[in-house]
Amino acid sequence: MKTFFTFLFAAFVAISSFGNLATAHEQKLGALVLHHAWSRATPAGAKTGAAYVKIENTGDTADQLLSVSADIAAMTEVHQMTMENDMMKMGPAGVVDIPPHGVVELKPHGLHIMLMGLKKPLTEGDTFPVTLTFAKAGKVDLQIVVGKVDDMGEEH
Amino acid sequence: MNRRALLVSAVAVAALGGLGASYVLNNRHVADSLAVGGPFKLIGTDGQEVTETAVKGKYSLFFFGFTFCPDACPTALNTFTLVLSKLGADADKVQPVFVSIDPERDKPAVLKEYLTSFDPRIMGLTGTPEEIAETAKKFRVYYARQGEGEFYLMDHSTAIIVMNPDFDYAGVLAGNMQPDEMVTRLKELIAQGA
Repeated sequence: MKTFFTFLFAAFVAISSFGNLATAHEQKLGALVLHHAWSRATPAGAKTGAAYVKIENTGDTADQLLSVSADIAAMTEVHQMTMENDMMKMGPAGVVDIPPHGVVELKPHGLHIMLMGLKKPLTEGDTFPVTLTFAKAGKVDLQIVVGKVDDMGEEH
Repeated sequence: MNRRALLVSAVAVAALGGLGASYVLNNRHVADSLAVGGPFKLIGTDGQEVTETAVKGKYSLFFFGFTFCPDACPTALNTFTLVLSKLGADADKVQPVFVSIDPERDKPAVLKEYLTSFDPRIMGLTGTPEEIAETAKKFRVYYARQGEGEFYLMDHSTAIIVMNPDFDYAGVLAGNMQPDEMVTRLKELIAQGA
């Protein structure tokens, strides 16, 4: 009986570890390292959300983020938010260059993965997949971890 | 006037200059007067008519945004929520107001549901496209629709316009101001009785 419980415990630990792997804060894809993929919880009834990730290029050649997609939204695009005086403007960012040995950070008040027409709210603690397609490194499925509604993206 | 107050005024004037300039450039006609803010008639989250009498007697903070906005608008509403909690007893002298510049999507019920995620003391206002346009013009707020179809977005001013308890213009706060700084500025305004 004791052995059985030890086995159960070991199995539980193993499953928990796999769970952690799925939401790891760092993911490698060729020369790219993707750090801290996250989003904020959405306010009640909100039909839009934003996801963020830091993309590091450890290689000697430039790469490009070509497109993003997510099942959770009707339409997903990389958007750029800019401020002109006090005016906030938002729109598609097009292809995003990832320079060699450079870092491109998608973060609040800047570049973001815009999720439009959300099929369900983003709830704190949940995760959902977003697929990023790069010109050289190829495709990667990121697990986005949903933080608080007032999260500003400080590393936890 | 101390140095800090001067600095604050200079920033406010500079920010308003920006507001005025974008207004003039984008609307191709000059404002009727230099006043910022003024009487309005809009619709509350229960579909009721709301005018400036609803905010008179308090310092009202006007932020113009929309619910289909992933970043600046939730941030401003979170800031309002934190500011109200940090103001303590002074919170009842302050009335944050969120005015939708996207009346096509933001019907009263949509706005009402959205605002349940924030401090219940935040007032949500929408209106007909004409009422919103009229109010935004008075507050020197610019907005414009971007893109087509279901997923259009809105460019918009993010400044927070402060009206005093007599509903005269009292100043402008940057939309991305940190909650602690906003609390300090509001407490100064309240202390000065400005």
